Parts: sequence; C-alpha cells; structure tokens
Amino acid sequence: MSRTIGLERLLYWFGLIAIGWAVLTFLLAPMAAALHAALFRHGGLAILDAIAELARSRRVRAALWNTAWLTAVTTATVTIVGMFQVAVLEYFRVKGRGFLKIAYSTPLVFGGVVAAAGYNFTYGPGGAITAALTALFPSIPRDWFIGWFGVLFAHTFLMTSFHFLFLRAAMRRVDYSTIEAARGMGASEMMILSRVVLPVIMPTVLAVTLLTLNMAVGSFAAPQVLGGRDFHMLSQMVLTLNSLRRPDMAALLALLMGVVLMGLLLLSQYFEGKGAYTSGAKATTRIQLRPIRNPLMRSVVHALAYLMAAIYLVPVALIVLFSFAPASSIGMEILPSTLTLANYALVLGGGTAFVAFFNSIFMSAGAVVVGLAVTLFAVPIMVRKRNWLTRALDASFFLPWIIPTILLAVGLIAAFDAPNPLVGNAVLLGSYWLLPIGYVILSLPLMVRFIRSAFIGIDPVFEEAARAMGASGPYRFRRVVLPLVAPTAILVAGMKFNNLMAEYPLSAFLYNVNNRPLPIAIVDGAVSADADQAAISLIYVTLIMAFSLAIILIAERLSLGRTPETSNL
Amino acid sequence: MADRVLSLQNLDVGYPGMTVVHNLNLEVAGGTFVSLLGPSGSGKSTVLRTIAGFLPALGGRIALEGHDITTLPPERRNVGIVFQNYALFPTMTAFENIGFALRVAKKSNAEVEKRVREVATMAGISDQLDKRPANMSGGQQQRVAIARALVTGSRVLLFDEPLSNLDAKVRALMRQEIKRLQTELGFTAIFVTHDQEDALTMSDVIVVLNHGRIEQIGDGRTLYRKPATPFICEFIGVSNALAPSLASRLLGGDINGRSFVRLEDVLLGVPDGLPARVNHVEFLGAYSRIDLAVDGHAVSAMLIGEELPEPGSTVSLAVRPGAAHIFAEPTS
Repeated sequence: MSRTIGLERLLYWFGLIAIGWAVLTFLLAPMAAALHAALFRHGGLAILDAIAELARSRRVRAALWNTAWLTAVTTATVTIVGMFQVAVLEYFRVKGRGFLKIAYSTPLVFGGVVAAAGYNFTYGPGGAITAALTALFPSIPRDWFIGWFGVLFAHTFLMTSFHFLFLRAAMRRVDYSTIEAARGMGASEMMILSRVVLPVIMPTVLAVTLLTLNMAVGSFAAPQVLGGRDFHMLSQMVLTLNSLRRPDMAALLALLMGVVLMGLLLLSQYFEGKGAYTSGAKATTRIQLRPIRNPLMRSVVHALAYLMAAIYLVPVALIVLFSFAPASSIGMEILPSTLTLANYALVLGGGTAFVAFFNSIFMSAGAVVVGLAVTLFAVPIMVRKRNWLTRALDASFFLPWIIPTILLAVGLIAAFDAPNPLVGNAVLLGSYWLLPIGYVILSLPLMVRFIRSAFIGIDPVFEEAARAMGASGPYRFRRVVLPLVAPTAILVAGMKFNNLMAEYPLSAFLYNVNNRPLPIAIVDGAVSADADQAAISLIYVTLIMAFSLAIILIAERLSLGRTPETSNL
Repeated sequence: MADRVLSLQNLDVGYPGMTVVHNLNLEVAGGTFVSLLGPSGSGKSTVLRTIAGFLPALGGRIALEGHDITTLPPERRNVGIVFQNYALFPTMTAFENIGFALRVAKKSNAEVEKRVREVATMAGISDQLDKRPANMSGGQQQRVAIARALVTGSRVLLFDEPLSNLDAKVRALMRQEIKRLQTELGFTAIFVTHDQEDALTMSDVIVVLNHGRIEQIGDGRTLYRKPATPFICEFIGVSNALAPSLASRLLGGDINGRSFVRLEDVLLGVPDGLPARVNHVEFLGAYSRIDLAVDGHAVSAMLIGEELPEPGSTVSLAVRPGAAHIFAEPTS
C-alpha cells in the first residue's frame, strides 16, 4: 500500500469517527437527555406526576387551550385563504395574475420572526396602519392588533406557503381533458370544481392542511411578538418553564408537543403519498384557466384577490419604506416625510447595532461551513456504502427534521447544563458555542437531502473515466465530483444561511449575552417602546428579506424550488 | 503480425455470485482493431469493464504488454477508455477534459498545452477546445472523448459502444474517423458493439459473444461467409432458417440439422427450381426484399434491379450452389 493511500484511509476513518462522535454527542445524547428529563425524576419514572403538575398550572392550561383553539381556527382560515389563492392563480382567469403571484409569494421571504416583527411594525401599537386608524378613529386603542387576533391574522396570511408551493403544483397536474369531458356532459362550473378537480387535489389539500396544523401547533415567534402579555401558546410556555428552572416540565411539554407534531408530520406524509392520481391517459392536457362568467362573482373574486394582495404587500412596502425613515417618524407618521440612510449606516457601520447582525452572520456562516463539510464528507460514503452504520447515520441526520426545534433545544440544555464527558466534561450551556452547534444540527437535514440528491444524480461513469485516467480518490473528488455538486452545495448553503439568520425557536432557548443573534434582536426591537431600537429592527428585517429574495431567485434559476421550512412562525 | 499487446487467459468475468463470461481466452496483437460483438446481455461490456479494471476478474489473468494487470486498480492500468455516453466532465472545457490525465500525471503546463493541441488536431477538434461539452454536437463530443483517451499515449483503447448515441449519418462518419485514427496512430482498439455494421466495417478481428461464451472469432468476411454456429448465421447478416423438409428438397439429400441460406443466395426465376408464391414485395432502395411461400414455408430473397415479381405470382426458386450453411445439430 502506498503512503498516499494509507493517509487517505487514515483521514477517512478519522472523519468517520469524528462524525460518529458528533452525532452521538449533539443529536442522540440531547434527545436522550430530554427524554430522561421529561420522564424521570429522583431516579424513577414520574411521568404521571409531571403531567399532573403541568395540568395543575393555570398558565399551562391556558396556553394549551389557546394553542388548541387557535390551531383549529388557523387551519380553517389558512385553508380558505390558501385555496382561494390557488384558485385565483391556477384555475380562474383573473386579471393581473403575475402581480398577484408576486404578492401571494411574499410569505416565502417574509416568514417567521421577520414577518411577526413586520406585522407588529405595520399593525402594532407603533405601526403605520395603527397610526392611520387612530388618526381616523381616535377611540381605537393603539394595541388593537395585539393578542389572539394579531396571532390569528399573522397565521392566516403567513402560513399559506405550503398552498403556494404544493397545492398550486397539484392543481397544475389536473388533466384538463377531464374538465372538458365533464363540461361536455353538461356539468356546471361548481360541479366540475367539486366532483372533478377537488378529488384530484384532495390528498395534497389534506397533506398541506396537516402541515399547517403542524406549524400552528408549534407557532412561536408570532405569539411571542403579537400575542401581548395575555395570550400565550405552548412553545412560549416551554421557554417560560425553562427560564423558571423547571427543565423537567419544559422537557415534558416539549415532548408532548413533539409527539403531536411528529404524528401530524407522519399523517401528512401518508396523505402526500396518496397524492399521485394518474389519469391513465398517455398524454395529459395542461390545465387552462376558466373564465368566471357571472359578472358579480367575477367582481367579487377580483376585489378579494387584490385585497389579499394588499394585505401581503403593504407590510413589506411599509417596512422597506420606514427602514429609510428617521426613528422619530416610526409610529408617528403614516408615511415617512423624510428619508435617510442613517439607520443603515448605524447597523452596517460596526457599532452596537451591528453586534447582533455580526453574531448571526458569524454563527450562521460557521454553522453552514461545518454543516457543509460534514455533509460533503458523509454523503458520498452514505450513498456508496449501504450498511447498518451508514443507514443509522442517514437516519440521525434527518432527526432534526422530525423532532420539533424546541424539543431539540430543551435536549441540548438538558445534556449540556452540567459537565458532560462526551465534550471533555465541559459545560456548554452559557458558552458561546451551544447555539452555533444547534445551528449546525438544524442545517444538516436540508443539506444532506439536497446534496445526497446531487451525488446520486452524478453519473458514476465520470468517476470511472477519471479513474481510468489515473486520478486518485481525493483528486477525483476535488476535480470531478465537487464541481458537479458545487451549484447545489452553494445554493443549499445560501438557503440554510438565510434560514439561520432568521431562526427564532432555537435561538430563544440557547442564546446568551455573548452571542445574542439577529432574531432575538428583532423580537426585542419589535416589542420595545424605544423608536431607535425599532428603527434598527426594521433594517434587520429588510436585510433578511433582501437576502431571502436573492436566494429564492437563484433557486428559481437553478429549478430547485424552496423548502417550506423557512416559514417558522 | 505485431507482438501481443493484450492477453486474456482463462478469464472469468461477472459479479460476485454470478459469472457472466466463462473461461475467455483472447490474444490481441498490437495495432489490431478487435470488436466484441453480441446481443444485449452477452457479456461484452462486462469483459470490457473487467479489462479496464472497473470489475474484478473472477478468475484467470489479464496481461497488458506482458505485464499482469489482473489485480491493478483502473488508475494504474494505462488503458484509454471511450465511454458510451463519452463521460466528458461537464464542468470542464474540451481542453481541460483532454488535458485531465496529463494534469493527473503532473505534466508541465507547456507539455499539457502541446499534447492537447496535438491530439485535438489529430481528432479534428482544435477549434472546439474552449467549448464545454453541453455546447458541442454528439460527433464533436465523441472526438473529444477519443482525444482524451489518446492523449496519454496509451497503446490500448477501450471503446464501450461509443457510437450508439449518434444518428445514422454521424455514426457512419465517426466509424471512418475512429478507423482512420486507429490506423494512423497504430493503437490497439477493443470495441464493444451490438451493431454488426460497426463491427464489420471497422474490425480486423471480431469476437462474437453469446450468453457469456465465444461463438466465433474471425474477420468479418469469415464470420459472414463461414459462420461457425447457427447463432452467427442468425446474428450476422440476414438468413432464412430452412425447415429440414424444405432444406432437403432445396439442397438435396436428407438433412436433419439446421440449415441457413442468406437472402442474396436465394435465386429466383432459375430453371428447375421449386415453385414459390410471391407474398409480398418490399422496395428498400438499393435492393428489394421478396417474401415467398414454398410448400407452406416462408422464404425471403433479395433482388437488385427494377424487374420485380408481382405479389400473387408464382416464380421458380433455388439456392445458390454451395451457399447454404448446414449444422448437424437438430432444430430446436
């Protein structure tokens, strides 16, 4: 064996052991710690006691009730809004479809903590819409939007990304010849919609509804920013219990939520799997837009479609506009009377306002680089060598997609709030590094999924050709394989960096004064009465939106689409 | 004849638990164009991949220029390969693709430049060197793939059905190009194909494989005119398989084995032939195919010229003396 081959083998085993250690330490051990904290107390199984204790808490009961009813109502409102959008964009002939499409796609760049803060800036006590409303109707309280209504409003209009992405695609798959056949047999427009089109898209509707349910149950940033003092949901309760030094109850609540969310996810996958209706026709006809013949109905549909577009676009427009306004005009003016770049200079100039921005850039970029390195090392092995070890590794990488983020956060806290032998008896909680480690864990599923697809898509003949020309393993990887997966890797890195810049749930649990990231600063700015802090938050939100938009446009060019996980309300 | 360059001795090839080709013996002289011809699943590509080193030999020995390379990894065998889909690296230009092996061998920039341009000129693609594969036609990609295989000066080039992705005209042109390059540069070519026309037009030696065993080795003329097995009769060219009773009447004597007559050896309108009814006449341009019935047996003939029998008419049919191929084995 040559020296080079020996070194390659050494590096290979070193990398494999390092990844195995990382998976055990930062994925499996936290999960075990969360389970232990939730189920055991004083060395024995105490789940019933813990449940009883949770049930006795008035605040927990209220949060449970709030989560339950708001989830139910959200599911209904989102389904109505989402299906209306799909009908307007893909079924009926509505004027200005291109404009409406742009408007309805805003939740893709304007989701999660960014959107929650954005809605607060628009409709909240210091918002421009509130300023306009109170100018017209002085009796309206300035906090009219804050509470359950604000959360429901945000859910309703910001959780439609799944409909925009998946239900539209399902609608496009409807074979238009079946509609024409029904029409030829004398079926009315309503009958065609209910008996021909709806059954075909129903599995996707169910899957999308369950995903909405999933998002609503786990909603965090929206109630945190818009719920006010009196309206709390379960995710917030987990955070509160954790900060009250009750990790056992926090873990149990997170675990219960996790079980519900995993159940919903599995159900949605089941329905998604049933979603492929094939017409049996050799050549299907692409769906064509149907004119609305009734003039009254046509006017109503157009009015609603454009009202909805306004609901989507006004907050985005106001945020961008007010990001150029002096802090003094926020909450005072409906539209800014003067424009300035002072806020941008303040954030990008390197002062204290830059710290949160820098923290997020540093931790997100670091997490993406580490995640990418792990993925690029592990995926080729997992693709080529299928055995129990690589299968276990594969499954472990996808755990963060199945487990709710707050359960992961609780697990990391439980595992690293005391000296842990897996990390040389260090206490990671409170250190700078636990949050970026969490970011790495969160970035793995998306990276592994996309990069695995890229690797599988590479024709093995390229490597064979390189081998035949004398290229060694690392040389082949560097010169042949890596350039082929590079576009996907860069894109996924960009998408993940974008997600992490606005990541709220994990950040809320794991941040400390040394690494306070952007999402926390945005929420603090959103709920703060200080206009200067609000102005800085507007810049943060605008920058994140701009970056999201750039990533989506690149993804669209590369036809990779966008994963729905970006909208993490 | 030149010295032996490639030697396959008692070679077993296949996959763990499944031997595809048993006990293959082949001696290839330097500068020879050898085709491995056979239908799908005959094992020809498996043999090629074993020679290249992508599949381990299950038994036997492979020697290249006298050196045993049976267990060497592909990167140390020094054989050039042209893949079916060319396997040009899509992220690299034609120049970078051709120069890849030279870069691996850590040649100087000047030498890479010189060698790539030389070989590109030979392959007729010196004006394509800045293009990426996606911006080239199939024929140009083919030439880049050949240039890439040639650039290191390998004496043996393996071709894995490289013409199958080309349309008929380009395919014919590329056949001539490959043959020209092989003749001019004198490399040894092992060419895998399922297309008899490819094999017949280019090869010095054709190895016909069927179900993992060699049916016959020879030049094209021999395979066509002196087929060793019924499979060769049916696989190379177009033949009539005659039923024993018809064979006995047409060829004379008592024939129990399998008999084949090529279409061009069926003679029509000859005196003392058997009466045959013309069922169908198919005009194919340079020649016409006549489908006939003799004593209830279907027989086809090939005619060149304008005078063709009318469907429904009766003609006299005979077989060119000595042209039939008779095998002792009984009909299956």
